[in-house]
Amino acid sequence: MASATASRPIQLSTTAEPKAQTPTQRVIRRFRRHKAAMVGLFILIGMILYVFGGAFVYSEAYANFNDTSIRLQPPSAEHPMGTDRIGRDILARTIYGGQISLLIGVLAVLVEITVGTTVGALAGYYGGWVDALLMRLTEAMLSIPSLLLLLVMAKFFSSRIPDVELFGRTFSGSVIVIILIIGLTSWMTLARIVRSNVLSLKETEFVLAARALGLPNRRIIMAHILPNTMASIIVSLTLGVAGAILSEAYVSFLGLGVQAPTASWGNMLTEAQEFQIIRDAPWYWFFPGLLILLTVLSINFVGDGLRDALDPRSDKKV
Amino acid sequence: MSRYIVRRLLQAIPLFLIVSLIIFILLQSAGDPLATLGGRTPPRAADRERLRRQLGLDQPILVQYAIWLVGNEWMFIDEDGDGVNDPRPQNGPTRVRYGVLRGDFGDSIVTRTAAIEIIMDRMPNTLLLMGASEIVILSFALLIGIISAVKQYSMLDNILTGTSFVLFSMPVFLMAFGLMYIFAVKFREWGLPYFPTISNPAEANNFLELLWYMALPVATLSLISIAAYSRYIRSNMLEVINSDYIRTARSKGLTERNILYRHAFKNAALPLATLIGLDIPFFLGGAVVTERIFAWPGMGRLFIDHLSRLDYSVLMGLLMLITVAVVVFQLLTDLVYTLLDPRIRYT
Repeated sequence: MASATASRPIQLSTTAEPKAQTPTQRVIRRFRRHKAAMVGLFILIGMILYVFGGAFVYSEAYANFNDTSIRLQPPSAEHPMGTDRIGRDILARTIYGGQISLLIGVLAVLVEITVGTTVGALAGYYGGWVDALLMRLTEAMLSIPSLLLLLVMAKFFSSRIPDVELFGRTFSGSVIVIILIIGLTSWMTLARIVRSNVLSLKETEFVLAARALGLPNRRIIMAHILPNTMASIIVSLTLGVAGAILSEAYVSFLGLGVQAPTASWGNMLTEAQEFQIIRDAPWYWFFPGLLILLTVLSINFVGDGLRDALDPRSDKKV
Repeated sequence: MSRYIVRRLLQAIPLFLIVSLIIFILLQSAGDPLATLGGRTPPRAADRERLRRQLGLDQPILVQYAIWLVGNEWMFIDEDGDGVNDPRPQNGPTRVRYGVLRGDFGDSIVTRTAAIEIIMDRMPNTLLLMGASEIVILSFALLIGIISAVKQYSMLDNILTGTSFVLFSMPVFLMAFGLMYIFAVKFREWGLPYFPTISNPAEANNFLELLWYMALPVATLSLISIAAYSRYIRSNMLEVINSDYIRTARSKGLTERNILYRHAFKNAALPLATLIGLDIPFFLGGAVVTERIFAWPGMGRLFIDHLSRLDYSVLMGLLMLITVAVVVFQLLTDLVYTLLDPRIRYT
């Protein structure tokens, strides 16, 4: 997308813009013109309202309440998304499962950003053996299929972290495990992007000036270099959330992720993989799957829009 | 050129060591591989202790790693498991191991057969599934990518781009369950020929039956990846179409077909070679989720099954084969690229 527009002839803006804009205003204007991104943003906001607003309608106890006399009921007025194998309300479970899935997506990306930016910045700024060491580690991590690495780490950390109480809810320790391991297996691409940005920024005049002023390295990196790599970090961050939500869903689906009774969109589908359920109770797998699809899709749209909006070369008229 | 190849291969050695050490430590400290041994009739505590010594699981992790790497004939092993190391040679149940560096991946704890045999047993199935998927992916992605680049911003392009965004964001299991529901469940209800949902290539009697078995898993894998590939091809193609030499070709009065296929496509396909080369080694890992759903006896399912038993010989063997393949294919991709694109030279 961005590359496609970049190769177009540069248009000198003869139709002068009405008034001077700050870079932030320009980004917002470009983003708002990106139709898909705006649609994505609305779906995403809707999804957040659904999983957090829904909590006021259904209690968590209700989401975990099972009544085997109403097991595998098709959608009805009382249970709009039907019931699962032990008679729990699927709608209520998608609400609480969604909270966990979104939470994992966002927090895992924070871990990813922290590790990726640190590794990339250190490798790019210091160079030499620091760079060699960190980049070998990055390559090593990249040479294993990420899902397999994720599963190995899930196995390693499983039952090592106890349950935690937060906001009056008990979170299975597996939630924290999954946040950590998704973050720790996805930082490599970001580290490479940050490193290459830092490599070019470190030769710029303002960084040389900062160094001539005798600023400490830490301050040069934090205050002068990293803010200039924000654009690529933000795009990675957005797309990373979508990736993390999918990763969580796969690991939980394979039984090594979030553990019962805590629901997540991924582990709701674990129980649905028997052929009888696929055949006779399509609502069981359809609704959680659809919610994952909508969330990931909307985040990808937003990420795509942000990439175009933040790219200074892009002046696409969408 | 040969110096470049040698240098790349030498650089790969520390990579193998880092990867294998990290994975080995993770696996060996994840739990007790003997915990699930025997199923419902677990071995007596004394037997378990003896087995642990015989398998060398009582050794420090780094010693175990060294044995895995270079073998164990240089040390005394507790062959009969009585807690005393025995001098060699002895005809105990513990066989001498030669280590991965000499091609010995060790024995599976679950089946007590050579790990490499278990892996090789599954490899053809995975290569079959992934190879077929890659062919389907490439054919459709090329078609869709080129069409939507040529007709940029047309109705067709918008529909294709929108669809590929949806497919690209689709979780594998939703795709698999959806395809199963339509093509296996509903087709059967409607009296149409329906596809099997459990796929075992060994049960196929002929090639057509094999294709029949593979249809749903291949469709699952392909539909998601076609989306990503076709978007990549589209953007490459757009970049090329808007370049100066295509304008030159147009101004010479060449036919549009000639321009597209002889001039634009060749250059747009170059980066695709890299993408394929980097993807192929990851085939070996199989498609864990897809293989699990369709009960396809491939390496992905092997991995997840043996991970639950912590059968480290098989798991390490599998991951190391993938790592070697990744390094080799990266090198091959770079070399092939110099053949395809004379502008690139390595020194």
